[in-house]
Amino acid sequence: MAPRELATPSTVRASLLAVMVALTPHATAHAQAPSMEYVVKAAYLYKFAPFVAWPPAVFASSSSPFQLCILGRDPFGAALDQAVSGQRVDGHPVAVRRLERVDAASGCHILYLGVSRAQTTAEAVRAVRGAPILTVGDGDRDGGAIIKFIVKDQRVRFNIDVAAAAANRMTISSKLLALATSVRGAAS
Amino acid sequence: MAVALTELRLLIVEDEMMVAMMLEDMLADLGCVVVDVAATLPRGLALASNASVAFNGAILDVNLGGDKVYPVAEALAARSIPFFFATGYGLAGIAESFSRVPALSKPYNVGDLERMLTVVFSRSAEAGG
Amino acid sequence: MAAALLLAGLGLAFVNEGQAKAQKLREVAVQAEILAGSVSGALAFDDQQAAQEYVGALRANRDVEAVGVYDAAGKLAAGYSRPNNPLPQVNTVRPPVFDGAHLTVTVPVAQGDARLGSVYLRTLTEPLPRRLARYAGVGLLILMASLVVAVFGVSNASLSEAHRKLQAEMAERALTEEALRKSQQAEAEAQVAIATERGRAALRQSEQQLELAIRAGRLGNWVLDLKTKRLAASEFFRATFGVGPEEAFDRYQELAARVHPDDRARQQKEMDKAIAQRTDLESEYRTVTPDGETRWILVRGRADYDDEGAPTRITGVSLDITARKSADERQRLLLDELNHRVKNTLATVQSIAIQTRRTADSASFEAAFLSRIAALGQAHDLLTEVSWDGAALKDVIARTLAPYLADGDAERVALSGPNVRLGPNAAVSLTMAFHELATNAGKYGSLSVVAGRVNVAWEVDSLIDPTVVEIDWRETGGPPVSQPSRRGFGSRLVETGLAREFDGQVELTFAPEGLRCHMHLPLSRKMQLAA
Repeated sequence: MAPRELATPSTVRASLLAVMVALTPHATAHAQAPSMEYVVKAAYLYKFAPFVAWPPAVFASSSSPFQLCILGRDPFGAALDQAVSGQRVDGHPVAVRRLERVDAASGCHILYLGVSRAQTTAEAVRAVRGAPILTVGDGDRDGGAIIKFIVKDQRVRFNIDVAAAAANRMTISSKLLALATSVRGAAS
Repeated sequence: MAVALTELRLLIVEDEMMVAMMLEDMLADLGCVVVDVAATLPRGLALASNASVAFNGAILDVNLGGDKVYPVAEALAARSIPFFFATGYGLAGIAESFSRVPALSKPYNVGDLERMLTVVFSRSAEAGG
Repeated sequence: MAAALLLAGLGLAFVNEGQAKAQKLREVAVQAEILAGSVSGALAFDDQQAAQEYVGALRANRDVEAVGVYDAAGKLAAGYSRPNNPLPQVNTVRPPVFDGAHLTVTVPVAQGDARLGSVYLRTLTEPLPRRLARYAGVGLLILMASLVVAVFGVSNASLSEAHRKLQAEMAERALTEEALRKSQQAEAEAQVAIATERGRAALRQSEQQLELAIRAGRLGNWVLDLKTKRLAASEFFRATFGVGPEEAFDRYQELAARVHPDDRARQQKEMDKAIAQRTDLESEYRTVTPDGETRWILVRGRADYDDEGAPTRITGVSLDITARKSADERQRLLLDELNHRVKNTLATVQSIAIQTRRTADSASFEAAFLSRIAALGQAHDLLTEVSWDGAALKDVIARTLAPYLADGDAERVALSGPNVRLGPNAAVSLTMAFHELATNAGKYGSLSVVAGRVNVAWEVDSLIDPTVVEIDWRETGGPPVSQPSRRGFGSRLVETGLAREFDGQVELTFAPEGLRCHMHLPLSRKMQLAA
């Protein structure tokens, strides 16, 4: 974030919101654990990484972390932190970040589109369009994300939008495409 | 065989007005004829290459207010007209390719001038130049 | 002979047995790897159905007895097995096992850095009776061949040929291993590419360091072993030779090769002399860098000697003095210029003396001569004021007329015109010329009477080429003027000298109302119109 952004009142509000949201997962963990569906999704989120190709320039060094970002309200809570603990993607340690607002410069590699008051799903997808970020939507919240979680036959599955992937300069492995329930935009 | 100084018709290239006048007077005293005086390089080149200007020798000041007189020297050499340098820079200041040309150091007196005239122009007379 | 062939044949069979085992292992390992690669996605995302499909593809291979896909915890996710060949419920990856007629292979399943599970594969190796039958067949062939040899006396060579052919066949089977090896090679190539990039970065850094060292020009140090001629040189020493910090530069002859050819003999002599006479070495010489640049180096050093007095080594420091040398060069040029000016001034004074003597009688010689020398001095003063870089025409004329403007006489002289700047030679010449005009006006012309006036006006006509300055000197109110009988030094200087100097025209007119002088002088490098 550029320093000047900190000055405006709206970002102060957003920061406050971010702080509140950041505190929420803990509350969630104590109050009610995330449902089984979200435990599975939490595991899947970072598992997408080995089947997707990022351009090499996204990492400053071999020890730079792989950033898994959650936009808005976090439905996974501690389940996500546990799932990624000790995991590595291509040698990079996995780090989880929670944001209220994203853009192409946020430094995210995977972006899960949760509910954010500061930015709608569609706005967020547009804001990062063209940058090498794997956008992951959920259920009704699509907005043109590359991967979208769906629940089918009591199982967590996903759809893939190849055109959206190409727009963000990312290549999805055919192994992952083979597992998707539906693949959109494959012809182009 | 010494050529008579009275047979010399000389071109002078010198940018210092006073020095040119002094040289003219000295030469007149020695009986030489001064055909023309050029104070700039362009004028000097024009005179040196002009076949209708009748002269058989030249005295060249090396430094003409920033320009060097060497193009005039080359033009004269091409026409086999003998000449020598008069310079205030000292003999070391003359370019490598012209180091064999005789040079008179300023200030000079009429005796030095007479000696130089005799040496340069009679030598070339002997050589049939 | 036949017996020997039979023995050879059996020997071949045993060798073949070992080769066959290795071959089979390779084949099965490859099968397991292929399956592992295919099910990675299915394992990652718990797609049992997809995993089962991949497993099912192996059914077609009749040698496969059991195949299973296990998750990251080792539990069975999908599998298939023939009757009496149970799959283990939990799998761990271990080295392959040959037991009797079976071969069991386990491989891990991974995608990138993620460990997703493992694969278990158990196959039939060839059952013994079949093997024996195969060998028996081969043995029979060899027996027959040997009988043929015995009967027809075919030479050894053709049987060796058959042997060679068998070998070739087995070698061909080894090609299956290539597929596995190729992927390993690709990884190695990627490592090489990374190392090359690092190497390039290191080279760039060392080039930058070389540049910095040269710019800073700081002290280098060096040690030369006089027995081995080996040289140790610091970064700054090397920089003066255009040698980078990592390049080879450790022998004296490499240094000598880079010394400027004109300085080599002297440099060598100075070093030899310092060593022989036990004095400090102090030597300046030029180096030539690989880029062809010439630099100056100052080297100081001292030799060490052993107990017998023989020199062992010489150590010292160095300094890049290229900048200092060019400063020295500039100073030399300035001194040359000064020398030239002084000589020219002396020649001018000499000229003034000679000229004055000719045209003045002995009584007035001294006054006239001194007055002209004074004008020359004035010109130099003016030039010094402007640091010899552009005196104004107006100032030059004003100074020559100044002696004639005593107390409140300013109206007697009027000067007007644009700002024309004069180089040193032009300033001196114009000063001398106007001095003559002013002296003449003061002695015989308008300035010799109280009511007389001098008007000097000049203008620049830039419409013609070359641009010209027209200077007009007009005397009025003076005594009647008549044409002089002979041209004095003054008129000669003004009319001829000035015209020649500027390659222009000057006209002196002795009009009855007063002297007029009109100068028509082209502008040039020595006389320019300033803004």
